[in-house]
Amino acid sequence: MHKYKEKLQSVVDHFNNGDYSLGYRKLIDCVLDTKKLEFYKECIELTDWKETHVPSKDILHQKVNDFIKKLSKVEVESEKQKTLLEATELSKKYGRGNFQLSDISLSIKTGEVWGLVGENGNGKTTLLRILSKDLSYDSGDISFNIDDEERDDYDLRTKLTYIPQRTPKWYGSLKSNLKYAASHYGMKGEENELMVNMMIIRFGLWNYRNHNWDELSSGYKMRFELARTFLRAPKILLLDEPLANLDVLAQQIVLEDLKNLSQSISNPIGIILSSQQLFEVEKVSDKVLFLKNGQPTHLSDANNETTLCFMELDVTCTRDELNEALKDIKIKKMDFNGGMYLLKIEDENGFNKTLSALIHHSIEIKYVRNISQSTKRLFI
Amino acid sequence: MNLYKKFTDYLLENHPLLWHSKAIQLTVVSLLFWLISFILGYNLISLDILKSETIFNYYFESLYILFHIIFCIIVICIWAIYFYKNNAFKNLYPIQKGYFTKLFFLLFIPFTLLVSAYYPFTKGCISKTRSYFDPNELKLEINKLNIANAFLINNPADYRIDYRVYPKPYPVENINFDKNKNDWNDEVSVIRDQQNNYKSFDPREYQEKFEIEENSHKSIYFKSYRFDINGKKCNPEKVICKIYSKEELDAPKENEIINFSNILITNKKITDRYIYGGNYYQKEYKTNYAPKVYDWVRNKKYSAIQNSIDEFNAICSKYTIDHQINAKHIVRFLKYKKFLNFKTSIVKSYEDRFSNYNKQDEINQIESVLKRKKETIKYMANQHVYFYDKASLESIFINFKISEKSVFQEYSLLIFAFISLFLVWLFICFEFTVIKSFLISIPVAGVLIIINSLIIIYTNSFGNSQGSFLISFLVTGLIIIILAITSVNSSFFGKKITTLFINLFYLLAPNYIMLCVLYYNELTRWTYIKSACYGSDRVSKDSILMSPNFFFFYALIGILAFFFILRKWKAKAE
Repeated sequence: MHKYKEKLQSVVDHFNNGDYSLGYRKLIDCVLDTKKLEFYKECIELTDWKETHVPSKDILHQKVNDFIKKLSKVEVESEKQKTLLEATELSKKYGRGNFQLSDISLSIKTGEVWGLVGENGNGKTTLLRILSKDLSYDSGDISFNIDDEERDDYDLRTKLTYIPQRTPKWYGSLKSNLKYAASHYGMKGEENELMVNMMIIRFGLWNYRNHNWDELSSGYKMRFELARTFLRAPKILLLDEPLANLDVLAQQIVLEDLKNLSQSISNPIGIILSSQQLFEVEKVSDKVLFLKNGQPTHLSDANNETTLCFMELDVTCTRDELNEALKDIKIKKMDFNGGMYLLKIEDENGFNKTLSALIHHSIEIKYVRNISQSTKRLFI
Repeated sequence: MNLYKKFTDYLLENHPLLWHSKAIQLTVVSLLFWLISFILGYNLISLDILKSETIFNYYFESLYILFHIIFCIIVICIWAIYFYKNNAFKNLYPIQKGYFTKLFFLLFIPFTLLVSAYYPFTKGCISKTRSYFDPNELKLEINKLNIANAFLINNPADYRIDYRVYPKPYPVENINFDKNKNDWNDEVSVIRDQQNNYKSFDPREYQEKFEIEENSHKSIYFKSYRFDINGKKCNPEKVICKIYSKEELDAPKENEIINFSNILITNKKITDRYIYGGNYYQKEYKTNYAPKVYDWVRNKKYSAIQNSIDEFNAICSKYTIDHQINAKHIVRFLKYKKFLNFKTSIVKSYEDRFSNYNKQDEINQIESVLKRKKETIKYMANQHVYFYDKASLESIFINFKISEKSVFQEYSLLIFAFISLFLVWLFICFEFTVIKSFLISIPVAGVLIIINSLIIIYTNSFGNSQGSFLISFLVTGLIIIILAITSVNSSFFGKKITTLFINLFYLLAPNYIMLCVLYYNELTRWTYIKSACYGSDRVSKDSILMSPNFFFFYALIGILAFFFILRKWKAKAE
């Protein structure tokens, strides 16, 4: 089945399963894929009606189904996957502190999401700024394959959108700022109004569209930045700690949105995002790059230790009781970081065995996670 | 408000640069202020004000300038708040290559309108002034005033020697010669005979400073006439006789008639603000007034003279000018030759050229003459038959003439354009640079200027003053321009250093470009001619490039030339 039809079907499925919020967001993605102003208009009217009347789910479901029927008649061309950015052997040294970012090589394709993780001060922001051409590098090479019409570096940078952790303050209403951005990117007249409204709806800002900076929470400020960024139709999106100011629910929504938008049928983009929320990032990322002391460490490099199991554990018992309970488990290393235990077990089924032993000894488990396939193990 | 919102939304969606610059709103506000200024200018002017102020200057004298400045500050502050809310360049939105040039001109027009409210205000003053006279009558009235004035003396409070009245020398009342002054060696225009001796002096070229003592000191120019009989000695009596002899009457000088013939009033085309000078003035007098005046005097047409003075009186009354002119008395003075006859005047010595001349003798002579005339002068000062408020009459007619021609002072437009240029330059500067880096560049520019100054002092100490000032500035400027352009294009320089160069460039580039042209001009503006009359064989020709028009264009080109590297600078990695 065509990708677009698959997406529409997933919208129908979400609504059938009662996932209205997720379904509606995906519906908007489908509308955006059509690139047709009449559908934008209809979608905006539908949203306005939904927000104003707060209809029953059945009525909304019915209207959405009607709308999907119209959308299903549209043919949407999907863009072929291509490499957007290729960096090889990048290195950057700072005079002070002798910090050095080195041997960074990566290749980002359309529709890919890269996670960038690492402890503080290990070069995540530096790398993002280098990739956005905001910061120079000492050696290596970066090549972009974004647009054939680039005239100079300024044009290139208009397509490399970098959102810093602390976004700069803006003035005026949210909507006017979005309109200003859209008009610079060639959206004039009605298209400008419709496209801005679509982005406002897409990022859940409909009820905040006339608010200004001071009236928005940090989460909504980030949503505004994302809305503005996607109005710019970027090819590569570089996000520095976008989840830092978001609550748990918002983090999941934003990550899911990023994933969906990166895989847009009509305008797929490449995304690199840095974050400390390892598990959430890993969930949506196609590739994860772990930076330690400026050096890249790939999980695949560590995966040769296939016989090892890594897990996080928090229990209510004492350490002696825990040692007693796990005496039959081949534990290679057990660290307690003050909050929880980090276990390195010489058994690929170590996770199940550990759980069994704990249950057998009636030890209450407060938290447990298998991190054998997570970059979290690289922190140990 | 809805309509306004629709309008701004339209601009925002379709013309982001117009929306961002708020140029349309600023233009509308400026035009409204022009309208207000015109109305105020019209309503503030009255006949009393015309007696004391020149309508060109009333904008300043009426303190309307203060209101204008406060208004400008308020409008510009409000505008700036909105202007800096959005910034496409800092957000790395796509911008066209001519973005800053367009922005510059979009702002330059409304800013120029805003700062030049002087024009509508003065235009309002002119319109109101026009309502006080009929243009056809004005010409006749000026003729009447000019003819009658030949028989009048001027307001003693406004006494000037070159206002002396035909046919006899005006009393040099209370002139005290300051013998302590040593400024006798002024350059004078001389005419030499074939033997290269000084033959005569042109009084118009020969000026000295004297002081009139009444209640207050006033500085005047006394145009003396020097005649050297033997080429070595000057006899004041003879000089005076020569000046006011009958023979001289046949060749009257323009300054023998009152200044209603001055250029502001009679000249059909007001070319500049100088009151005196120009052949037209002399021609006007000779063709229009002198024949009639001489005819009346020589043929003793006293009734015509009296009528003329009566008409003068009538005009004074019409415009509520304070006057006590008594035509009968004045004519009687003429008829019975009861002039207050002062044969002598003051002639300075000129020892360099008349080596045998005894300066002290002349000083003594002058002092004795003045002493004898003291009482007569007092008597003269009490004669009110000649009195009229000349200053007011003159002021009114100058204003009438200005309003009739309605010609603005051309350079004042450039002053406002310069102010606008500077303001727009400043505001656009902060469109791309941050205040911190801009502030850093100011002391750096200061250091460069100090270094330049030291270079100038050093080179001057070796006697190379010619052009060293300009050369050192040009070299420094050239280095900054080269460094700015090179650093933008080179990865050798970091973004911070490049930003510093850019800010320096932006601060100094217009000046350096100006200096380049000026220096070239300085090298070419001297022309060597041979002329004994001026005592020098090198004169300066008029420098076209030094004119304010060219200064304006230097600055404009300097600013615009800078914009082309901004895109590259912004895209440069840190």
